[in-house]
Amino acid sequence: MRWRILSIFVVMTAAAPSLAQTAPVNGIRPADLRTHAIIGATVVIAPGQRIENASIVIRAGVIEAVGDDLDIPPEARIWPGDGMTVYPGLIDAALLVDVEKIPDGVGAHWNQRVHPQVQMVDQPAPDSSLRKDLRSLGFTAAAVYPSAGVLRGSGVVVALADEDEHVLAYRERAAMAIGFDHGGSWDSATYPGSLMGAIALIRQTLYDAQWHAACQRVWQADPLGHEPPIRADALEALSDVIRRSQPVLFDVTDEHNAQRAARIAREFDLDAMFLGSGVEFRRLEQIVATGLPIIVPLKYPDRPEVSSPLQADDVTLREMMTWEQAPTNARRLLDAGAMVALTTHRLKKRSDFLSALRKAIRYGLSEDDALAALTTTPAKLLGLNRIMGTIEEGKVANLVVVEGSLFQRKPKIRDTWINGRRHEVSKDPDLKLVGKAILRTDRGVEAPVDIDTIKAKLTLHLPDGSKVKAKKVVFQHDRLSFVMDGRVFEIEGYVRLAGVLTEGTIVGAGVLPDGEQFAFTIAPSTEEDGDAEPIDEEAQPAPVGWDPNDQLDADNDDESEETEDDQEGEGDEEEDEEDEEEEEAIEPPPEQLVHPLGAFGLTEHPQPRSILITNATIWTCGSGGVIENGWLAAVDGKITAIGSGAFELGGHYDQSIDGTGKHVTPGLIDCHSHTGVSGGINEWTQAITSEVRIGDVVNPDDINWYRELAGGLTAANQLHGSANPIGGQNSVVKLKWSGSADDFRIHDAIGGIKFALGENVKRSKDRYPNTRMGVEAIIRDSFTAARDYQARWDRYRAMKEDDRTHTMPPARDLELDALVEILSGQRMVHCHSYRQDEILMLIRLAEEFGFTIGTFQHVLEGYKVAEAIAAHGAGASTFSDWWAYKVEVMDAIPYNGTLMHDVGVLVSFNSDSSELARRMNTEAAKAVRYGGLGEDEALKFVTINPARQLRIDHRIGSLEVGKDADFVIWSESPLSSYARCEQTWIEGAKYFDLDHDQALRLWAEAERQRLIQKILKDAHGKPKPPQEPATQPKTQPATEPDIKRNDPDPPYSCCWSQDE
Amino acid sequence: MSIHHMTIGIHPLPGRAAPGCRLCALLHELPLVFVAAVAALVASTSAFAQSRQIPAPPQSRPIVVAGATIHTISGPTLADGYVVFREGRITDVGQGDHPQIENATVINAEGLHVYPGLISADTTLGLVETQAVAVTIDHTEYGRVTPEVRAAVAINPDSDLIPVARASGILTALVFPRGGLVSGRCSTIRLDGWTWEQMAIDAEAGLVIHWPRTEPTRRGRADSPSEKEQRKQIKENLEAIERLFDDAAAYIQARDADPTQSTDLRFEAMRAVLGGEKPVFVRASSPGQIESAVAWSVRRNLRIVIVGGREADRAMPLLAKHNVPVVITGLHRLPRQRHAPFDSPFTLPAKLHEAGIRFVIASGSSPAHERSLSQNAATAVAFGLPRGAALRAVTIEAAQVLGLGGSHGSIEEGKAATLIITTGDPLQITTDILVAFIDGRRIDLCNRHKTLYRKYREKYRQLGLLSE
Repeated sequence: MRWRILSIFVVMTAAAPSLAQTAPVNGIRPADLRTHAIIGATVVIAPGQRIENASIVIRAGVIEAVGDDLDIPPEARIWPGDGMTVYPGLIDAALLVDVEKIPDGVGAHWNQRVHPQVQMVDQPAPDSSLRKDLRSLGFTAAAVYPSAGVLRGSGVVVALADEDEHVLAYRERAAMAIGFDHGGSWDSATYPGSLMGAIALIRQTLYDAQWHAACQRVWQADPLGHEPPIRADALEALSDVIRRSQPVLFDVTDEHNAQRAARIAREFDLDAMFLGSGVEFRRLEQIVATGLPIIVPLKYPDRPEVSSPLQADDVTLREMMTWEQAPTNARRLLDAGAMVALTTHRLKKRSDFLSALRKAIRYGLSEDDALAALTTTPAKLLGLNRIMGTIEEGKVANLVVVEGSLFQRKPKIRDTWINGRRHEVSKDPDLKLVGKAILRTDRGVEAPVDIDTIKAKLTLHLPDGSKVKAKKVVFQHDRLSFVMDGRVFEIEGYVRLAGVLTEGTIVGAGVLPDGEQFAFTIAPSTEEDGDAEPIDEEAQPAPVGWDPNDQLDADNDDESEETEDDQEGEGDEEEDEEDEEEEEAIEPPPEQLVHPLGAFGLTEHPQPRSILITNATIWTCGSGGVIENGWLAAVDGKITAIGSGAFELGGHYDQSIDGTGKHVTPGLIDCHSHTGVSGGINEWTQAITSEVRIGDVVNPDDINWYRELAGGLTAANQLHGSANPIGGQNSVVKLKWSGSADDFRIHDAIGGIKFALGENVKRSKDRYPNTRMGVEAIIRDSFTAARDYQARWDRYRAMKEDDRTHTMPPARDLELDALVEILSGQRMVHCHSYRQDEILMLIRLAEEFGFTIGTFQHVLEGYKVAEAIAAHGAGASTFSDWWAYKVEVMDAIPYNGTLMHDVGVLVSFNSDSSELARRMNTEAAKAVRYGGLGEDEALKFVTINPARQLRIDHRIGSLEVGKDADFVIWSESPLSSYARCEQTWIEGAKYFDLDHDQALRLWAEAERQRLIQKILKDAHGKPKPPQEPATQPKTQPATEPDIKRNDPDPPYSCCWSQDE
Repeated sequence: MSIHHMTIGIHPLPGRAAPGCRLCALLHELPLVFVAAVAALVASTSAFAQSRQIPAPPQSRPIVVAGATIHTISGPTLADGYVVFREGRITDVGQGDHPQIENATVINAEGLHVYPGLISADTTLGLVETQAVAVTIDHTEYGRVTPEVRAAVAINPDSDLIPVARASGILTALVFPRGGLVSGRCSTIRLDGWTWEQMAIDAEAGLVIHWPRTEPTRRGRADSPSEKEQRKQIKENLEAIERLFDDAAAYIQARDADPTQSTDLRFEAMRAVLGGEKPVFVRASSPGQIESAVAWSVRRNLRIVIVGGREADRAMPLLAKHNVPVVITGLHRLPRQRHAPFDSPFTLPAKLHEAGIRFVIASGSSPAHERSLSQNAATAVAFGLPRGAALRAVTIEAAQVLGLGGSHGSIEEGKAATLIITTGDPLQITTDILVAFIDGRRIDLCNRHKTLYRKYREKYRQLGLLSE
């Protein structure tokens, strides 16, 4: 179906008639009563504003009046509200639903994940069961967005009415939904295949939209002399977004993607908000700092499985802490100043929303904030605050009527009102019977009965003290029926009874096993009947969940009736008490969080200190050589002095370290790392992907950063993978553990890009290139295209301002931009390579295009063409000694690095592995072993040489005055295989320390044990304390366990002892 | 009396072949045409490369290594010591002046060190040439239960990987079949010989079982089977092992009683293990796997070695109680869990050492990178293992696990003259291995890497970019 579009202005004129479509009625026209009054209720007109004993008058879908002193129009249908609280109807600020048909053909975007022209208002309305589910939680309106794609389409805000014809759209074009969807496996070759590819695609498409708009302007100003702009529905659909007249909704699935989305929003000046992940608290500060509103799902992780110690091993502390802290997420965001709306989206079971909300409140979210996040804030976010979000005169009559409070445990939602139409959610059974009564039959039986129709229980007390529990107890619309065994009649078999309640007594007939009928009554106990309380017949609401139309089928178990009955009653009470207890016994989670969350996270980001190290062996890797008995001073993150002998400069230092016996080196640098990259290191779906950027997907929370710090690494060149001839742009970072991705970035590092040659890039059979010949050709083609592109822009920029307004501009191409930067020497190529032929090929190609390769990576046959590499001026970043894992590395030799060095190439050793990256010092030692390099020169392979290769040697790589105080303290010579990294410092701040590491371990272990206990309590309830042992301690079994054993003596003591 | 004296330079000049590198020396003098032809062969068939090192002839005359520090491993370290060996066996180890022996070759190793050859206790050396080329891989047979296969018979004596391992002092190895539940039988080899038969020390050194997982992996991963399904699979796997051993025992009993019973090669292959003559090498990492395997071996009265042992520190009481040795397959790996200490793989040997559990350190690397064996052992030292224990873990302890405790792993009279002469501590990366003997045969320590190194140094000499 399509919904009706309701103009805001129409709504605002309350007297206007309803815009019902005039579909022909088959038969008699139904009356459509549109004037209602809810009277005598507590009305929360807005968060924090409550009127007791108030009434609301609704006319024609709009709130006509609200207050505690109203004249109720006589024509109004009255809805008693005693005991009820009326809230503004809840608004779900972001639901994602599947889009049935993605536009294709003329005007569609080439990429099937880009379809901003989708308008949810044109799509089928959310189906009636979803609307019903939402209503049952108190929702009256929801913003609905497409669930899949990158640029997905515009949302719509709809009324969650029951009847299709009433599902109108409050806002036809809500925000533009954007997501980071991407493929991931090598099997489905559609771009983007990585997170960074998705980001690049969003950026490129937004630039395309800007370009398209510019072309349209030129065309519309004067079409003469111009080819008309191509039809581009997708780009057209973004025109409001790039003008900031339509907001965007970023669907972000973790705390890092929120920050990535915010970067895009800043780049394009978008009016943005997030559909969050529920784990924003893990990077709260950065996310709140974006200033963007967040629609927060109340999604809490499943309770981790920790019952068996081995299974618990698989659960990280980070997961446990996330489980514990997730209910604090919304509260923490609000406390930190974020604008927060809530959504039922991402919940595994949507029906858990209210209990999740209750949990958030128990973890500190205020009820007013919760209500605002479900009413006024989403109304504002959706631009609908003039017509909804509060209970005020003139606003649409969207209400939720709750018995008691919306925020209590198991709230009882009674009705939702949507555009002034009541939608019943739940209702009590009209009648219930609870209490004690007497069953009498015309066969002379008279027995006391316990009856509870809410629980569908009926128990007869026989004279001998035993009990008979009735089966299939159904009480529905005044009528009671049940089955019981014939003991009460001293008959074997089942007796069926059915009766009707009139004037407090059930009168009916039963059928004996032989078919004979009898009459019976069940009447309330009177005083004469003993001390039993009278039956309690009332038209009071029953506990929520009672549906008088459901047949409750309790007690159909086969357990012994006589023994269990009383106990069961107690059991139920106990259960209730336990539930109550659970509500009380909340163990508040720690308020202070570590970053990153989990083991080895820090409460405080390390701060620079002034520091003095004396009496150490200092490997400067610079002009100072190796200084025995040396000292080093650092202030404000920079090295201020280095020397040898006694330190005589004086001055105050926050920390002095006696380095006797210790060795100090520059922080190690890994020129080829894939640590800390989110969402894939390869955008492998295309041969040329220079538009993607590792810098977009840096993950500062990767635990391997910490492990690498523990090996003395302080900086890394994060590279794209080697799946394509021209891969993505790199990211050069310092390992500022606990910081954000932005903290990690070395901002003044020159940009780089990954290229790759050889086996990896030619193995996709359905993709060019398939040969090393093709590799050369496609790289040549790309640079040729980049040169042409540059020329187009140069011509355009050289135009006079006036001419430019009459000329369609060239389209900005992020892929070619990066190649232009290479051609102009502003971006360095880091090229994965093995064989000498391909190395030489790229050198010649680069020379032809007039640029210099930054580094050859791996370059395992570099030793065969070292003179060419040296003459070209490229660096070589190689493995120390890997070989033989594939055919193109069969000629790799561990002498590669030293031989290239000897011929004049600038050489570094890299890891390409998060494990190896923590042992780069001993990698350097291999240059001593294989090729006899001097030790100080060898250490440069992992310090100043990679720094020079990355053009960051002005800051790091050696210990020299004025450079960053990035250094490592070692237990002995860093080239010794026995050396341990004891401390790692970056910019004068200590990021790793063996002692501190021990403290972090203890903390992590204690936290794990605390959380495991908490999880087990959450799963199984509180354990019984030891003071009251339930049973006698079990004695050890008298005999050995019955295990078949051939020979009780361990037979192998003799087998290993020849030399012992 | 004729004694041949030899001197060994402490640091061979860059590019100069170590003594004994016959082909390197040869290549130097060969016509260019030949070099080119060899290079072409290397380039075109590198996946099926054939080592050009020439196996050594049997020891023909007594050899005395004199003036060196002798690290006997089993006994005290002897400064200014000597080792004498004849016909492949060590006949004398001592200190001070070496005995004058008729017709002996005396190697003056002053300032150098003698160690037993290192032992790689968990490798597929000889069964793999190029990881990425499936046809060069011979370690995993079809089927889940293949005790009948033996590693030794598929070892390529001309693998280019073997001389590379040898050049780092590894002279003995335990080569494993891989995969399935019962992979086959592993073989101990010496790293030199014209044929696999010459290389094999014991082609049937033990049975190899990959112990199945004993705990379900994390639930909640989309592609992982449910916990229930996993438990079912675990049960089936464990029962398959039990069934196999029951069946094998029944078969052997029947066959011994009645030789006309038809033969089953799989069960025949298990005789030595069931009889307690050979151990079962059980690949097991998690505490659950280790505990389950040890309990099984005790119940069945089998000798067992745990191989892999990644989390053996969490099954220490059981390992200690039953004196089960552990081959630690590599330290250079990342901790399995995010919350584990960064050095948890590095400290494992120290923990086992303190608990008195016997262990061996293996490289944990691909066979091409066996040379990382000594670095793995060194890392254990950096993280708390006494250096002597680390050395033992790659020599004598390994020899004992390989069933070669009587013949290998230390410098002792009567043992094989399988030893190395080094510039220093063999666990230090910077230490060179100058000379190696296997059973008294002096081994060619050249390899593909040194050959290529020499070749391309020559290129730069020709270009005038290198002086020597």
